[in-house]
Amino acid sequence: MTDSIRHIYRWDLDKTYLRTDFDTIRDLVRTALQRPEDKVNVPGVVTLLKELTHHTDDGRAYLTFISGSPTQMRAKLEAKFALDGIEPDVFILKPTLQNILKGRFRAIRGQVGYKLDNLLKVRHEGPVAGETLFGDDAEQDAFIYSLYADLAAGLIDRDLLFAILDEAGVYAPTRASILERFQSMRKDANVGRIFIHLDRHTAPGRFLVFGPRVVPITNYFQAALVLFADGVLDVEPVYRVAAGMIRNHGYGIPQLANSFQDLLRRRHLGRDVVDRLATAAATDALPSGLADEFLIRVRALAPRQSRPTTAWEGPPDYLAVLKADQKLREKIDPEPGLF
Amino acid sequence: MGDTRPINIAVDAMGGYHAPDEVVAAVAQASLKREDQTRPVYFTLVGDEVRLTERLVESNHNSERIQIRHAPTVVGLSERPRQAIEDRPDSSILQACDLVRTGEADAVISAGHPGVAVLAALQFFELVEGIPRAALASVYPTPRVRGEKEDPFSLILDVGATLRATPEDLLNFGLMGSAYARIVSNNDRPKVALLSNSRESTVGPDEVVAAYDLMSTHPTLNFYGNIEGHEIPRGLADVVVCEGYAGDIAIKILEGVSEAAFDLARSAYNSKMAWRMGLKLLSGGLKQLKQLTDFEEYGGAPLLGIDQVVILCHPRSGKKAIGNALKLAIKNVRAELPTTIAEALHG
Repeated sequence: MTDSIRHIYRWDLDKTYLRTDFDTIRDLVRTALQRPEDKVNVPGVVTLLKELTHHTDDGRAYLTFISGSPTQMRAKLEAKFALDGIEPDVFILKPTLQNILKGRFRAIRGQVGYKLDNLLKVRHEGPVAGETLFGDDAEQDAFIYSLYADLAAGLIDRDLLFAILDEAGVYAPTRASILERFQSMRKDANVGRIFIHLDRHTAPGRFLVFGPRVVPITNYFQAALVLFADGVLDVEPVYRVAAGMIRNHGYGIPQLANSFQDLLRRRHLGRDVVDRLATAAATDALPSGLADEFLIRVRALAPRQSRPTTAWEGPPDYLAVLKADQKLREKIDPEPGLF
Repeated sequence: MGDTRPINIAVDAMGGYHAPDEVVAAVAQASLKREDQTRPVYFTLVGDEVRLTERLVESNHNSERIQIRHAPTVVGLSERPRQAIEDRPDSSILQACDLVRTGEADAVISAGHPGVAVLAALQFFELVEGIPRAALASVYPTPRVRGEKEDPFSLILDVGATLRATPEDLLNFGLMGSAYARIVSNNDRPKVALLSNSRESTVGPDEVVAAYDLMSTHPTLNFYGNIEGHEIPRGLADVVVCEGYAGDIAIKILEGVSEAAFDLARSAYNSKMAWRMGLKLLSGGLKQLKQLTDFEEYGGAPLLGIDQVVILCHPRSGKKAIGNALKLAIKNVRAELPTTIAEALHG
């Protein structure tokens, strides 16, 4: 008997699940040669994923990974998943070699066409349920995921999609594939949160354009807190994520409390979350006294000023976002001379 | 096993002409620096929470290492220190000091009203035993290098913690400056000079003449003798001691001369084609010189003689100066500066 699917989690891999350096050729080579057991997870990610995807009476979660890593990495990455005890339902890697052989060099670095096409593909082929997406700030995940969510919600028409893909420099065959999938796409506003892991510590304000659905996070404790506030996670899993980060990654109470305050300040959480967490402070998940210490610190840091979270104002102007992004990439900021 | 306690630096985010923008930018940048795993460093921005949050979300930063402590008021640069402290206990500078007093932070940095900052530090913290008067110490560039690190900077104190000093104060300033130079420059035996209007030991104000006698006969101080104002930038001594009024003027002249020299060069650049070409050819070297003489490069002045680390920055400080003050604060906390100075004074 097939389990019912209670929720779908769609993840990026590099810099979202794995700590990967792609900034130089040397980094690329080292990543390619790295053994599965040497690959390093982003702190808290495995615990969070396991908490999100474990079987419950409501059924199971459906897990997909769409990665920009080349297909040649599949065996090593699958072995890494096995080591972590993570079982994706779908794992898609990028046909980088094919792109090189076909001379599609823009597609080697570009992610918009590749990821959007595959998101629409897995949506079409997979189960129907609410979706939560996880990406990072290294590429254009916030843009792609938001666009996907708005396409799913039926908020973008074909002409605009065509113009966006054109502006993003998506090759014609991929563009055609996306447009075809879009035509037959199930329209349902089922995408909830979009988490963007700030691997590069990008200013969170740069993601405000995508509205409150997109939550930039510095670590997965922050994601767990937001999912707790949303009612997706209970309190114990939140503390287990924190405990894992303390035990395995050297985190301390100050970092976790600062992360909490950051979300409160950015209005992704309300102050009520502190009280809700306090009800289960006597948790076994954290070493004795640590939860209390954490809550005392969080209360001391709790923002005094209160302003409502930015209201959802509909889809962003995707073309303007792309153009601004392009401008930012081209911007040369030479050090001012003496004369 | 070494000290593993986290270090928390409280930053008065509303102090100075360019606050909070430049202060937030400096802290945001500092939060991205690689952490020392033995003693992780955190920053507490103290000031208007809404304004600080707005600035922070627009900056690349590591939110795990930054917290904001709300302080609703600010002390203006033109206010009277005593009155301001009495009227505004909820101001950013006083709240930042309070974090250190309560043990929540290990050091405080402010580019705000220097008088208020000094007075607040003296109210919130204790003076090191045997030191009746604290002193602000500032470094300045010289053509000579010193210590293991071949440090080109000399130290001058007091540069404005108080106006006047007794002969005993000047001796204590010399001892504290000497201890500080040992820490920051790894200079085992710093030469300490007394600022006067003559090299002669019998010339000058009574306090300076008396201080000369005390310093020249002190058993541990490596006393150089008197130096005159024009000798300060030559770096003849590693530590120059003077009363706060004279020191404040001296350090501002040093800053002003550097700025004026580059203003003159810019003016010359615009005047004649030949000068323009010459300056272009020299621009690499001049840039290095500017880096060496730019006060932003060495940012903060520690307040010596109290039992906590307090770093004051010039109110004109920008991101670079505040960033360097943050580095200095971290270094001084790691070196346990107040304890080290107390030990130096009491053997």
